[in-house]
Amino acid sequence: MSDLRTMTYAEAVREAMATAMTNDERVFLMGEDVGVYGGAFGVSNDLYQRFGTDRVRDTTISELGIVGMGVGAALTGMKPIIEIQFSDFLCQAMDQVVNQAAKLHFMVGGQANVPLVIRAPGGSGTGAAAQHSQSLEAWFAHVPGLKVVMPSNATDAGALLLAALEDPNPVLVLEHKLLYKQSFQVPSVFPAARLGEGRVERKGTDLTIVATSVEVQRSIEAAEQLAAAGISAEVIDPRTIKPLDVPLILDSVSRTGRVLLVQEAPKFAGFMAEVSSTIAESEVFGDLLAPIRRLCGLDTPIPYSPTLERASVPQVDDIVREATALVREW
Amino acid sequence: MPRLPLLMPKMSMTMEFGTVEEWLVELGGPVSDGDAIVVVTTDKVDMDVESTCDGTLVEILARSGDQVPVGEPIAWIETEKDDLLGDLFAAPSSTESDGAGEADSAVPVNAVAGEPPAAPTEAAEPTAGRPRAVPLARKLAADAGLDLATVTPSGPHHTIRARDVRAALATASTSPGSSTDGVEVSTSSTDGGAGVSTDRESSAVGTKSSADRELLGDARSRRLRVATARVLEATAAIPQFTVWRAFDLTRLASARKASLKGVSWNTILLRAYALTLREYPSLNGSWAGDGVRSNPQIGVALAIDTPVGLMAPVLRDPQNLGIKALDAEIKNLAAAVKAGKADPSSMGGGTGTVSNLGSFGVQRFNALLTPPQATALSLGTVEVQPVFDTDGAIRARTVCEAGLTVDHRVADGADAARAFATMQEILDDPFLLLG
Amino acid sequence: MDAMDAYRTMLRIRLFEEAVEDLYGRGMMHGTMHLSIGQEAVPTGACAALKEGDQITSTHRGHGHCIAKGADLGRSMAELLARDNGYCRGRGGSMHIADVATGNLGANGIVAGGPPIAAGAALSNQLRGTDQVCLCFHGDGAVGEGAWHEALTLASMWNLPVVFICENNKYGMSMSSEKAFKVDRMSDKAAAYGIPGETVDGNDVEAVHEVVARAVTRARAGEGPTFIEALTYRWRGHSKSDKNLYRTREEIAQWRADDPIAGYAAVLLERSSATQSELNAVQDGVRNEIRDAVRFGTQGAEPTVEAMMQGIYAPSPVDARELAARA
Repeated sequence: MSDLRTMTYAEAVREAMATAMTNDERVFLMGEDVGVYGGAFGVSNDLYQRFGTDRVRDTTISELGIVGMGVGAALTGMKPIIEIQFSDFLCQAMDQVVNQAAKLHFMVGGQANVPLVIRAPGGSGTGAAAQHSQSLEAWFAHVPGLKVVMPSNATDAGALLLAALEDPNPVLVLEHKLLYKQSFQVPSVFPAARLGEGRVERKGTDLTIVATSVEVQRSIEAAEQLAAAGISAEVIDPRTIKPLDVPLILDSVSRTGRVLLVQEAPKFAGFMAEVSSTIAESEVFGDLLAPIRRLCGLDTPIPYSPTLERASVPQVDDIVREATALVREW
Repeated sequence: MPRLPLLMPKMSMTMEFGTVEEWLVELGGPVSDGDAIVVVTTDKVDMDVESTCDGTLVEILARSGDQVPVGEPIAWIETEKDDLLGDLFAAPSSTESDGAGEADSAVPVNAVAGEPPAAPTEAAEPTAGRPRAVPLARKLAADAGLDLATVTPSGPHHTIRARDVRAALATASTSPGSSTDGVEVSTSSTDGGAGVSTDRESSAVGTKSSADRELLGDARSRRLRVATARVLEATAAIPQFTVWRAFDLTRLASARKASLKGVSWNTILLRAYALTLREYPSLNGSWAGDGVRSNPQIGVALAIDTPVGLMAPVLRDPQNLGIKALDAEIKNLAAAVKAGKADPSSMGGGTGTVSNLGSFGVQRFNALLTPPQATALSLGTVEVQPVFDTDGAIRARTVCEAGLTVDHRVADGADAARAFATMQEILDDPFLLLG
Repeated sequence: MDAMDAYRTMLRIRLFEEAVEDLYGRGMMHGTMHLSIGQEAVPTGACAALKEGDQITSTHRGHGHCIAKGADLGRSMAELLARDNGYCRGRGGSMHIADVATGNLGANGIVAGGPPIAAGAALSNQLRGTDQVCLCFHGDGAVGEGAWHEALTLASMWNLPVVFICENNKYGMSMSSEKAFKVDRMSDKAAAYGIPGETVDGNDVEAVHEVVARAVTRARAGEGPTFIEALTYRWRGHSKSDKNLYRTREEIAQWRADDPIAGYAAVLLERSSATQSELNAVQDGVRNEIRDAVRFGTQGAEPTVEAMMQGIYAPSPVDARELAARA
């Protein structure tokens, strides 16, 4: 059992990058303001001093160019980590992510692969408003050839980044900006993680809550409140959006018979629609005691006002309310 | 001089035919590499077809208006230019070892259609110890009071299908035509259920044909009866007892003439019940097998007689409403339910039930529990009765005889008695009652 | 640059394209084709300046680049014929032919998809400390894309070993590059990035070679990127759906008179660097190569859905370990 230490989510990402760069000279970090500035969210911090400005590279504001360079470098023997300052800015880089990185391995008939990792923070709660607060995981999960992870805590932020770097395919790591400064208990060595493996965060019997990113914590907190009211909730963090840990989710649903799917992103055509359909199409359809229910962000751009922003995405009390209604009504 | 064919070219991704529009060069005229020789129409668009060599147009095969498939010749050009590939695809030469025709002889063709077949998955067993059933099957079984564990599944992964429930019901049922899914079947003659014989002779003597024994009521009310029956079959298994008390409402009677004017007795007694449940969390709870599980809310179901039958919508935390607001709420709720417009979210989730038959002149009755609720309150008529007080004098009291039915697994007689004593205290104390 | 090799390469490109045109016209090729007939001298002269290990990125009009970089004609043809023995196993088609093992990082269906990738390959070369150089072929149309600008910005900032070669054939799809760009010469734009820019006659294979060789030397020496504008012309429309409404027959005829292959043959004969019979022998040889390539391609197997579905993701080491454990 390794010792636990307290570290922030940002520190965990930094440590994982440092570990990777120390162990593998092919790994390097490139992005806007990742060098002397230390990263917009302080993630890279002093990495440029420890590894030099060749391997911790500041770029111009050129997301499309940077991601494309990541593709080229990955095609020719390197393992780049591209930091995109806000996941919203991935829009600038879409061609290189979707048309190039995701598809090259396929289009060249397997002659080459693109071991590219792109890290970007998403999510709302900081008053950054509509163009700096989105949760876009569904877009990228929808592209064959990409993998997508969403770490919900510091240990996963480090472990999943290391797993992503091990993967020979392009992986998008969507961190959450609200979590960067939050402290967690992290083992002294990041556990070996696999992409496509989720985790049961809390065991329960009355319903299964599947949640992503910051909603995992909110769901755990909600589960505690629900327990006091006599409702036993099981909370699952898939950790990887794609590939999805389907057996973990189905096993839980088959036991509880009720599902609440919680995501920050707007409901329509979001990731939880995929999870919902996967459950409904599976062998555990007959175990359902209730319709599958989603609790998602409102179908709106994230607003600036704090009250509006808070109301636009699921909060702990929303999860408690929905879970309670689900269990009481069904 | 050698000749090269001018083929109808494929000029777009979807093109399969082209129609010759107009020859731009005369028969016998010179052509140069890159010159437009003929205009062809395809997909409503006119395209110029260019010559791919220098030479002379010596033969025209397709006239204006002729439709030619892509790849077929439309003219011949006499030219010195080398035909790079022509002989590789010379017409009936599929016997040639070149085999350079379409992908046929030398080429193994794999059947490619749609998604590769999913590997057959093993039938997964239900893990919860609870039978798997599609929603319709559950509903049919519940409506009929059938235990799913007794039904044989025929669906994938040991899942019970609706037809399995119907089959189980058909074999179990002795009166044919017991359709519990609301589908209109008035007699059994359509489904050949058990006991139906089309042989008149065998069923003739003294036996009424089943066609004469109709089910009463329309589909909706029958459904409701079945649903009620289901609940009550469940309640029959619960050990329950009733304590009786004649609540003294004399003080409240005067209040009702003044500040509480217009508020119904039902509202007042319901509120008192809710407040009592708040004082006794175990009575507001449910039996969970290994103990009493508490409920965070108080939900008082109010039994309402409607044209289709008994319905019991739930008032959530009625003690939080002011008495007059509660009265209005109850009146609205009753009206909505009677009109068939009950809000589905108000059905279910109750922690206790109030039934009131006082308006029919019934003085007392024992209400049965609605599982998983632990109590049910019955209310009789509110009437003025003569009572002997301690001095032996007779005075008038306004009383209502109420019964508290209790799940004996959750609470005992003394608990019920104490609860009723509390309820009387609440009824005695306007400040307590009205909050 | 060996003259006969150059002549042979240009002929290979020309005949390959003509064969593709023929096959497409017969309905044997699927999709659409972007032919580079008339532009053969640019990739030939440019790739002759490379050595083993150097890389190229290409465009949607990339058959010439790929052939000049040494692509196998049979596997190229098989790919266009959508067979499993094609370079990309029938999954990529004309616009995605690549031969990564020999440094051909691929044709690209997105205009200006190549420049950032080329800059990334060049960065990789720099970080790994090799003297490899990447040639980025792109067209005049790509200069309109932000990706082109970003690639040049980043490549010049870091003095990356990449050479950008713009095949200015005067038209994007139908947009005239003279109308589109306010500069007199496309190569003037290099000044905006602080790198050398040169314009060269793209139909003169020796001139192209000379300019590119200098740029490649610069890059190899760590002096950074160069932007080269090669003036050329495509004889055929943009694609097979092009009606050539945006240019005149006179213009097409004028450029066709300036055939880079015929021109070079004339130069070689004049210099007595080659005889007519030697040139003819090369022609015959190439003709047979193309015919062999077509035979090879048409005999390829149909690709399967099962194999295709295995080709979306590269197997991860974890998967591989698990597969090995199960075996």
